[in-house]
Parts: sequence; structure tokens; C-alpha cells
Amino acid sequence: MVIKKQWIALILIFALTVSLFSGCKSGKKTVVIYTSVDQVYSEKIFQQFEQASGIDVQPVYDIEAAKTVGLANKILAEKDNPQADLFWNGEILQTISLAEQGAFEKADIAAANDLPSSFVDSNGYWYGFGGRARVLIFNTSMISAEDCPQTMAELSTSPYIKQCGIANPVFGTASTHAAALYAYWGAEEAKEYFTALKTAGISVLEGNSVVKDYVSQKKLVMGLTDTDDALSEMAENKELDILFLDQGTEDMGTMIVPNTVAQIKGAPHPTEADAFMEFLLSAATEQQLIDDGWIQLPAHAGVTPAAQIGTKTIQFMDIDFNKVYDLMETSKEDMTDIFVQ
Amino acid sequence: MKALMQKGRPIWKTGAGLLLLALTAAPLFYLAIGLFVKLAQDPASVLQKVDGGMLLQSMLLNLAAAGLSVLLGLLVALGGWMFFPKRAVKIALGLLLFILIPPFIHVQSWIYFMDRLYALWNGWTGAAANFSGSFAVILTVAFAYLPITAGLTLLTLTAVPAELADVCRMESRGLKGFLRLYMPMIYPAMLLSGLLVFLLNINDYGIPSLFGVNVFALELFARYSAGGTIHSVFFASLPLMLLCMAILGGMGWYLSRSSFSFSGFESKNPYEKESALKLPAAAGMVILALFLFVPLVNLLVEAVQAQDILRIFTDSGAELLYSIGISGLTAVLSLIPGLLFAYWFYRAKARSWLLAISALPFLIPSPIGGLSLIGMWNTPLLQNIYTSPIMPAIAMTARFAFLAAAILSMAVSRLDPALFDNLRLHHPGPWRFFCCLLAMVWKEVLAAGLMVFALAMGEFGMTLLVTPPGYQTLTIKIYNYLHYGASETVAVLCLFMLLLVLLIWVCVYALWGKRTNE
Repeated sequence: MVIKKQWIALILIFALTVSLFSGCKSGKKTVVIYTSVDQVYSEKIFQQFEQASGIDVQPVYDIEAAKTVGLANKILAEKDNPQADLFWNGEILQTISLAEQGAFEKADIAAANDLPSSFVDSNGYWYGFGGRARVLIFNTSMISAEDCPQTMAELSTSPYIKQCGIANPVFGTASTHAAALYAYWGAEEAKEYFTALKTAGISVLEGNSVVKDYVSQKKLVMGLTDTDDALSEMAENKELDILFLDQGTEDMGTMIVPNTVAQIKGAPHPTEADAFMEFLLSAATEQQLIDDGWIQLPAHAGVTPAAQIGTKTIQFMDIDFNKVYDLMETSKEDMTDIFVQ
Repeated sequence: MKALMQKGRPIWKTGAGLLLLALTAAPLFYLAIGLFVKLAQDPASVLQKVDGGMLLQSMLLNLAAAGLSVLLGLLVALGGWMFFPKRAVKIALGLLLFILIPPFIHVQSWIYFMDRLYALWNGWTGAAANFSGSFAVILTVAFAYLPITAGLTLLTLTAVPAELADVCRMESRGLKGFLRLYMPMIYPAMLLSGLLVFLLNINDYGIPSLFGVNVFALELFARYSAGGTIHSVFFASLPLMLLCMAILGGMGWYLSRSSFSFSGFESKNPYEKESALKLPAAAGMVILALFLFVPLVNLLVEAVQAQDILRIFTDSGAELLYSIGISGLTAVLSLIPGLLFAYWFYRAKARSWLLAISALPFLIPSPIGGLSLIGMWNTPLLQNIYTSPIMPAIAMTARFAFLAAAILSMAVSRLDPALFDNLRLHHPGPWRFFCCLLAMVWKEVLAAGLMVFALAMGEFGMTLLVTPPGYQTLTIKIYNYLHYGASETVAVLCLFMLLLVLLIWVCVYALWGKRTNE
């Protein structure tokens, strides 16, 4: 009897365990999306799309700890038998890298017709939209806007450099920014610049959110971060402000990091993938993402930027992201040599 | 493998060995075969420069973390041994159960704790300070794995035979006496626990990346996305894998030769009244208090600031259930081949080799293991399993099943062989035989199952890569929210996991105590 009870218990436990996650496949249309965009923002868009289209979204999220390469690697590993339909990325260089490695399918999306040409792949493999800018966040109780460096070049010679922070430029948007400087200034000059930053004693922190936390907590006077991190902290702390660097007529302009979306080559649900891309790339969705705080700067004409930016005329860096991608590897190697402890 | 093929071995003994290998090392064999083929066809695409500096840096970081954990563990063990000698065994087993708390809960708690300390420091001195970098990694890893180092050390302290303890009391007193006579007896356990902590962390990138520290495991992962092939990345990971194999092999050899046994526990402490040991023991108690209260208090302080705790809980119910489900399934999937292997191979010469091979997925960075699983399972033939919700359990079984096999084979090897003959005589038939065997080693089965469950709950390197669309583990969700900065949400979710662990702890402790008394 004891033996029978043990086996019955084991079978029940196993059945319960399996039943916890065995799901019935419904007949609903489905689209599988791999996204590196923070779940709190992307989930809302997925729910809106589901309501509007009746297509079930099955998302897979990346984690910051994997430094946005987690899902990119998954897409590459699944290339021969793709499981995902779309890749929605919060930045651009990883998308270009995947495009170069043949991971994407060309897509013709009507909603993207009014996007700037620099935001659209010339071969039609990926589309960029709505961006975050790289800004200088500073604590107004410790420094005035006039005393802040006004350009990236001035940063390395600022008297406040030791109280300035940047995210680790080996990963994420800080890495994209570094590669953009390599493309704009040239590799040698850019390397000298970052070496000078290191020598001057700039603080290298874990990520953009840590930079804004430290400035908010007055551990640092200022720091380079993204607009989504900066503005979310400014909503909590009125002593904070941001500066768009390089706004002079002769200056290079502020770096903007667009979101990108692409259809996976051999996607299991291409029709549904097209439908989601049309939805994501629409002006209405871009406005929604701005209102939610994920992006601050629109690519579509007629879409209102984030309220904190308002009607400011911002000069953006005019760069070719493909050129930035070409220098990404060199930039990363140099950043690793200079900044990895 | 030769032993498996010897004539006269029952086919099902071979099957037990092959089952363990199929569940664990098969994806790596698949990768290795691909590597050899690629090397033959296009060596330039595979042979990559290995970042030796990064590898050395990662090794030193983990050695420091393991070393600190061993030192803290020794102090905690001393504290339990000196102040609670009669309950030392129960304290040790209780400590070991705390390994169920995933490391990232300790990490997050220490971030909150140190932020508050640094805010105070900043207020007093005006000097800014950061809790980041290598120091933060070493400290948090040391505390996260304190249950292993403290628990094993304390168990060994209590395992010193009474006669030897009496000799120690008579021959030598004081700290010198303890160091001269007792330390040689307990340092094997300290070494073992330290090496285990090292192996558990050398292939992890989650905790270091939270503090902005780049490690070899993440470097490999990043290299793949930058245009490397899986075979070239696997090649680049070989030095680390070989190092870990050497460490594991050394541990196994050392265990087989040293008199390291938990066959009996004595609670006698010949230095119970020794004042020289009271100070380090007291320090140990402070460390234990920090270990217990830093997670609890800091998570509570953050969690009470959350606006809608019930909504956070209900929003994450699916992830919590899914995590428990696949972790439980991982434990079950690991125990089945583990038991079969333990029964058939507990005395076989091939046991060590088979265990070493089945440990390979544990000895490489988890993303490499995940990528190899995708390569093997994401095929038209196996796709239905690859896209099913149980795929993460298969991945984690590949990584952790060897632990269950090792623990259970050690347990079975301690049984009297005459007992097996009696069992066969009085309980014919494999099912009844196994049920009786299960009854004799149920503690070790429970221990192995809980260890695998605990490791599975905190795992995300492989899980991230193989979790099917529409599903998410709680660990991945917490990491996502950690980045987003939703500290209250993270605190609430971590508290749920902590409470779950404490519930399991209470049940196991009660069950263990009840069955021991029967």
C-alpha cells in the first residue's frame, strides 16, 4: 500500500507539473516577436495591437544583463529554422549586424513611407523609428547649465570631469555613441578622446540608469545618458536638467539612437509580421511610445516630441549608421582596452 | 565507454549511462562534432584568439569571491559550533537549505543595503562612494553562497570523531591548538565548498554585469553576435571548460582519497570554553545575522513603498507558476537518470568518467550551452519539443543533472552490499526494489532534488535562449525590471521567492526531523 501511494503521489506531482504549463494551442493568428525594448513599454504596445488586430502576440524579452546580445544570438542560432517573426530592437547597430548576417527578410511597409531616409535601410531589411537622444544630465544644485560642457569635445577638459559619469561604452547605447564618434571624428581621434576621458578620471558606471541615479543622488554632478532615463528621473527630482550637446552651428549635433524593427528571414507568420510592422511603424504608435516615455524624439512628421523637450529645435548628428556599424568592432576593442578594469 | 561495452553488462546498465549522457552532454557532443568538421573544412573561421587577459581576470575575480565566501563560512561555522554545539548539525543542515535563495535576491538586497550605507557615508563625510565593480561582485557572491561554505564547514566540524576531540582537548588548547589539530581536518570541506562556489560562478555573467564588470562568459557571448560562429565561440570557451574540468577532476580525486565522510556526526566541541575562539565565533554570528537580515529587511523596506502589491503579485503569477513548474520538472528529470545511474554505476570504474562527461554543460558558460541546445533541438524533427514550454527544463537538466547523479551515487555507494542481496531476495521485481532503495536514500534524493530545484530557479543564461515565446520565468522578469529601475516591483517579486523558499525550508526541515526521529 505504501509503495502504491508513493507511485500515485509521484504520478500526480508529475501530472500537475506538466499541467502547470501545458497550453492548448488556439486557432488564433499569432505573431512571435523578439524584443530588447523594456517589457514595461513593449507589453503595452503588444496588448494594443492584439486588441486592434485580433492577432495574438507571443513576445520574448531580452535582459539587460545580456547587453542586448541575448536575443540577437538566439536569432542567429535559429537561422536555419526560425521561430520568431520580428525583431524589435531598442537600438540600431545590433539590427544592422543581424542584417549583414542575412537574418532578415525584406519588407515593404507603407507606414514607413514618411520616415527619414537615414532611418530606413536602403535594401529594405530594417526600419528605424522614434529615438532616444544621448544627453548630458546634470544636477542644478551643483552646477549651472552654463558651467556644463557644451560639446562632447569640451567634456574631456571640463573642470568637473572627475564628477562626471558615463555608462560602460563597451555595451548598449553608450557603445553605439562611441562608435558614432569613431565614424564622425575618425578612429584615431576618437580613441585619443576616450583615452583622455579615462585619464581625466571620468566615472564609468554599469549603465545609463545608474548614471542618472548617481546624478540624482548628488554622487555625481553630471553624466551622459539616454533621454528616457534622464526624463524619467527628472519627473521625480526637480533639481535635474538636461543639455543637448553640440548644438552650435559648427558642431556635430546630438546623437540619436532610433528603435528598429525587422522581419526575420523565413518567419513562420509573415502576414501577421507585416501587420505588426505596419502598426509599430505608424505615427499613432510612435506617439504612444513617446507618451509612455520609452522614446522622446519622433521620426514621423506631425508627431509631438516628449513634453519635456517641447518645441526645442534640436540639431541631430548627421551620420550614416552603416558607417557606424563598420567601425563598431574597432570601437569596442578600443573601449575594452581603455575602460575594462 | 569501454566499460559500458564489456560483455556480460546488462543492456539496461548501459542504458542508464547513455540516458544520463543523452540528457546532459549530448548537445556538446553535437557541437564538438561540428567543431571538428569545421576545423577540417575551414580552420580560419574557427580558430579565434582567446582573450587570455579577460579569462585570467574572471578567474581571479571568482577566486577572490570563493575565497571570501570560504573565510566567512568558516567564521559562521565557528559561531554555530562554539555557541550552539548541541544544535550544530541542525544549524548546518538549515544553512544548507538556504542555498534555495537565488543569488540575485542577495545581490539586489545588498545593492539596497549598501546604497543606504553609502548615503549615510555621503551625508557624514561628503565623499561620494559607489557600490559597483569587482568589490561589489566579490562581496555579494560571497554572501550568496555562504550556505554552501558555512554549512559544509560546520558539518565537518561536527563530524570529527569524539575520541579525536578528546585528544585535542587534552593535548592542545587555545587558538593554536585549534589551528594545528582541527583545521587540517576541516580544510578539505572548506576547499571543496570554495571550489564549488568557484565553479558555480566562473561561467555566470548575470551578477558581474549588474555591477558593470565584464567577464569571460559575457565576452564569449558578445563575440557570437559580432559575427562569430557557434563553433568558433565554442573553441574560444575550451580553455575555460578544460580549467573547470581539471578543477572538478581534482575535487573528485581529492574526495576519493581524503577521509571525508558524513557517516556520523558528533556534537562535541573540545574548545567550547576556549575564549580565544569566541571572538571569531562572534564575528561569525554577526555575518550570519547580515546574511539572514540584509535580504529580509531591505526587501521589506523597498516592498512597502510599492503602491499595489496585490497587482504586482497577480501580474507575475504566471511567471511564478511557470518558474516553479519548470524548476520542479528539472528536479524530477534530473533525479530519474540520477537514480538509475547511481544504482548501476555506484561501484563501476567508469563512474568518474561518466560523471565528468555529464558535467560538461555545467563547466561551460551557460549561453554556449544554450546556443548548442538551439542547434540540436531546433530542427524539424525535434521542433515540437523545442517550442514547447518544457524546453527550459530540458536545458537546465542538461546543466544540473550530473549533480543529482553524483550525490545519489555517493549515497548508494555507502550502503551495505549485503543489503542489496537481501532486497533482491525479499522484494523481487525492479519497481519494488527501487522503492525500497528510495526509502533508504530518501534524504539524499531530497537533497539532490532541492539542490537542482534551487539552481534551476536562479538560472537564466540558458533559459533566456530556450524559453519559448509567450512564456517567461520569474528570474528573467526580475532582471528586466532591475534594469528598468522598478525597485519596488523587484523587491516584491524577490520577497515572493524568498517566502516560497522559506516555506520549502520549513517543510523540509520538519520532514527531515520527523523522518530522522522515526
